[in-house]
Amino acid sequence: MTNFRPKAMIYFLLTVLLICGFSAAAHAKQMAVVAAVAPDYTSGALSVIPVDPVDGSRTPQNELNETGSDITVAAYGDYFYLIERTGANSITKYPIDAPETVVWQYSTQGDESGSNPYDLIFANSKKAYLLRYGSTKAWIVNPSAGTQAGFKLGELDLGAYADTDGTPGMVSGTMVGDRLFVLLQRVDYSQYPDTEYSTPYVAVFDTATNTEIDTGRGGAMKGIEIPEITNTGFIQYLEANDTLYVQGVGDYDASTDAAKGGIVSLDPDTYETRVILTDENDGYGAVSGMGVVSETKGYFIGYAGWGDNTLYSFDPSCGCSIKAVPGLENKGLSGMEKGIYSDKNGLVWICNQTDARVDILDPTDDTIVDSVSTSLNPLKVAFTGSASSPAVPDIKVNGSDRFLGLKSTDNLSVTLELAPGDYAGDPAEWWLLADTPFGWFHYQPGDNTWARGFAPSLQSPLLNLGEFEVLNISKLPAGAYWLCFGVDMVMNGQLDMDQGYYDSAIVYIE
Amino acid sequence: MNKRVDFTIRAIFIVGILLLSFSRGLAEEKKSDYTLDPVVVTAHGQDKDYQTGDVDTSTTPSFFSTITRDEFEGKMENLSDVIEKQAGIQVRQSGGLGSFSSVSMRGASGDQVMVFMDGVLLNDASGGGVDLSNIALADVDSVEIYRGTSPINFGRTSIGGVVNIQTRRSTKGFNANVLAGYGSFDTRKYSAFINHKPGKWDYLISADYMESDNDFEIDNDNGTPDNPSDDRTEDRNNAQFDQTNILARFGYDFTPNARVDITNKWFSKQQGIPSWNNSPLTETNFDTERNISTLKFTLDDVTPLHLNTSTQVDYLEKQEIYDDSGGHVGLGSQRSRYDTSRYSARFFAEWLTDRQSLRLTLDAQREAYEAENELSDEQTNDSERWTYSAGIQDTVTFGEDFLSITPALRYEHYDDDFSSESESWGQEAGEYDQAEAHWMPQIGVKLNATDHLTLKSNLARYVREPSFYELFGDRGVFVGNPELDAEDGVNFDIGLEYGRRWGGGWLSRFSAGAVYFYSAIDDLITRTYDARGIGKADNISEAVIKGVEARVSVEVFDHFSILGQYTWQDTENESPLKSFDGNQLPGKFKDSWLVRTEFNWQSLKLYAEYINESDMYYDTANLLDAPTKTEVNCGLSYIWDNWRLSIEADNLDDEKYEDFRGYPLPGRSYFVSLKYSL
Repeated sequence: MTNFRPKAMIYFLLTVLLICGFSAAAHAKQMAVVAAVAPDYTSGALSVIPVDPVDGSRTPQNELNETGSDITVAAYGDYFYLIERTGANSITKYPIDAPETVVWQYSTQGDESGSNPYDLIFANSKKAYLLRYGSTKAWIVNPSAGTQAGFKLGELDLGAYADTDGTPGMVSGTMVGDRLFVLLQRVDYSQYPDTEYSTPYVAVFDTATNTEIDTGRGGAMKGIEIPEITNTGFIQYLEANDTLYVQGVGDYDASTDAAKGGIVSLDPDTYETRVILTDENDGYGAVSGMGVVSETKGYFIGYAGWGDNTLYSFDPSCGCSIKAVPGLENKGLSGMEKGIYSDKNGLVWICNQTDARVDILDPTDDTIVDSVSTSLNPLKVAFTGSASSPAVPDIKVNGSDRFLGLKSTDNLSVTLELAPGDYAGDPAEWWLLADTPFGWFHYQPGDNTWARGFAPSLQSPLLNLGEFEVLNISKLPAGAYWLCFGVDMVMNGQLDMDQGYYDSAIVYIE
Repeated sequence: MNKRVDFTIRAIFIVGILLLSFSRGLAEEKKSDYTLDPVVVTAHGQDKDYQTGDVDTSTTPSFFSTITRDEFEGKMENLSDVIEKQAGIQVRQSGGLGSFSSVSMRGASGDQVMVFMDGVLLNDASGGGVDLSNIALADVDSVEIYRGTSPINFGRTSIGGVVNIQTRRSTKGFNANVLAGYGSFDTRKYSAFINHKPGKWDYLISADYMESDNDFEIDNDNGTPDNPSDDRTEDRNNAQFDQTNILARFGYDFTPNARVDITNKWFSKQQGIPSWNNSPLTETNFDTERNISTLKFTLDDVTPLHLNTSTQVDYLEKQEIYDDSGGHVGLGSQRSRYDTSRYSARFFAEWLTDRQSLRLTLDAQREAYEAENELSDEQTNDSERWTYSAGIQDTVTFGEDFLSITPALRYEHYDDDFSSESESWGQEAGEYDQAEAHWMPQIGVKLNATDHLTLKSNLARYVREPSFYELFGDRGVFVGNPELDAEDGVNFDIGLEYGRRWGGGWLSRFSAGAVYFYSAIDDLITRTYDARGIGKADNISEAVIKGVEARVSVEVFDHFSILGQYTWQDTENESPLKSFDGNQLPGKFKDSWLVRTEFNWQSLKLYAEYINESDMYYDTANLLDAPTKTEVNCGLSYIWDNWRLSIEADNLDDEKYEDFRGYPLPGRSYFVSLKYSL
């Protein structure tokens, strides 16, 4: 029996806390993944940038996964997805902590000559919607699939919205609860520069059944008609005020009446639309990008000409209070993508193609707090580490979450719970470890015993675990006992702290 | 100036030159029979086919090579295959026979290399360099390649150099031949040639037809290179082509010193364009039709100065139709027609003495370009360029041909009229008129150190004027920039050549050469794209290119020869764009070498060659490495009586390579041809 002196216990506690952390969800921190292209469009690549500065700076990893230039990126949980369009029509999944290691790569190609994948909208880690601009059908896909055959789960037929070029132009989408909102651009570029603009729509789907909802706002169509603007590019949902925002560029020559652009709000429950602002203005140019930060603060990009875009702040509640943001005027900012993205801290990332960097803006005072070089011209930013439902393991000692002091004669009960979140069914390693005064032990579920050594308790798909007692004992020798319960998704027999979720508790026996 | 008056003045200028040279020459002809002034040097040390206006290769200080007809006779090669084996030359092809091919010379791009055919410039003002696949070899007599600096005979020149294609000329007597060939991918070739020169008049007709399915095997990764489970090996779809080429030439010798040539060259090609995923449904194609009519009058030994002169007028007409109505290759349906027409006139004169050769060229050219969207009857580009150039070159010889110095000066003036231009909204921007002029000096030195060793060096300034595409854009996907300046380059090279023959003994012939070259280009026109994906050209970069070309050739026992050739080039992009600065220029290899062996025994010739090109990037940011390209070729030819049999096997190791990323080249292929000559 070892007597722990108080000072030693403090060091011990600090060490344990360092290893296991306070948080029950000790997983990869949020990272920004940027799709960037060479200025002459002869190649493209990705950049990975920490969202939170490390030692005061955000040091990027640039020129990763070099490929062609018609690319974009999406992210969910601890993975990001490189979406390649013309000439590849594919999607590749990478883990954020090994951003050049391919998890899988699948084709997005169906019967059409070019599927032209535009975006991937996630319902959860096993279900997402792949928007395919060159097709009348969006795909329902499983981002966790291990084979191409398992990747595609089904289709959403949007052929009813096709315009004169035969496709509806699905450009953007977002989830609101369990409904998918898909923005349909409906622009015929086949005779460019003679472009034909049709009225855009938003189609709404119940993701539980993958059936389209009749919104009653589309005339003969089930979807929501957006007559106020054309050539729509992006749809965004703001949870704070339960409002959707739709941006349309109209005709890039904002001085003509050929097609109006602007920003429209959309009520996700009543499906009513309201014009926020249009490009019949005031010299801002065409509205080529949008990002709404709060009910009263948003940004749009005014496209005045080639390489001449300006970032404006505005109040989305009234479409007023429009001001140019200093330092982001007369630059190349958006067009193919919206160029404005918000991170978990509320900071706004702007794709500054003129200077080949992302400028990070504080929306409280519109100041640039950081600029990070991407080497190539940034097109789009996606953020990892934002799974809506992580796995949550929980370990308690006599019902306590953290620290417990007991006498030797007291009884000790250790219980576990696990909510698998988005990872239900995913293969994982389960760890239940105890660091005791007489060495390491690990739990063996087969016979409900503890054995010496440092090893995983189980390799099995995650499931929902209700309260489950793994130890009930008294008369333990005096000393400090550290207990850790967690799951990691890397099946290698090693404790991968940065790719899993853990919880811990400490018991001190006197 | 009123346009009509301006045109009239120019027309008078051109006609005046023609009348002056023609009439005075004929007038002198009528005066007396010729006796040669003893100081007149008319011999150029050339073969009997030499005509005034051709380059005197015995005196030029330029580094050049000549590929004669017997090096490609009977082969199923195109011009790309022939010239890519020369030092300092790189050819990139987008597919099999007939596919788009561009040439790079000493690191310069295709836009910076001038290609001439019988004195007619094939580069269009619309830009993009010359597609070498549109030049049939059946009627070609020789190909000269001038690297870096070029003689004044070529009124227009550029930073990379000149490729000069000479078609066949009439020879005394009568000869004719027919040829048929067949090879891999259902490739067929038929040609016929007739030449007759019984006396003062002569004619020559050459016609050839070539077609191929180009259904070579490719490895299709389905756009997922990291997922081998969906890969498949299949035949190339929609890469077929067929082309017809006819050369007709009529000539008449008024006197031994006065001759007229009337030539017409007609070329037509239909080319399938495969899609990115090799879809069998793709029907996209690109058709080209070109006709060049030439009237050339050669008059030697005129005036008391005994000038040799050549006057030539040409009319070139080219139509290209790109049909992607099904939208299989590009985004959306497209069917566009591009028409180019060009009138040109050229005057060349030389004054030769035993110590000096003074040469003068005058060129005038009017080129019109129209682009039409046939799906909407929209004419998006209507451009016209007048080009005037003058050049003077003097070769002064010291000692017994020990040293010659050749200074030269070119003047070029461009006058562009545009009646439409695409600005950033894809609409017409109205009329535009601009003019520019450039002086381009050059100097060359040639030192015959011994009977076998020659040292040469050249220094020159060249410009490349922006193309119509770079100036005026295209359909709104590329914005015009009329403010573009010409690219401005300085070329320098220095090298030596050694050649010697022996009679008897095991070593029959040995030759070697090495050249160092350097080129600095300012105002390099770079195409960049904005956040919306619309392109624009601008003078934002510079480039420094340096390299070495080396060559060794040995012939032993009169029957066996080995050739080794190596090129190293370092191309550096100096750009304000960080992702480009300091990078290697895209599409340019760093190392290239060739080894070729030949065996000749009486009527049999066997050859084998190995080519290796390495260290190239597909892109300007140098992120996409191109794999090393290797090629092993072999073949034989056998002549008996009036017959010639040629058999060739190309790419024996069946390498599946891509000169352009995403455009595979054929693997192993075989061809055989049989020619009968009268």
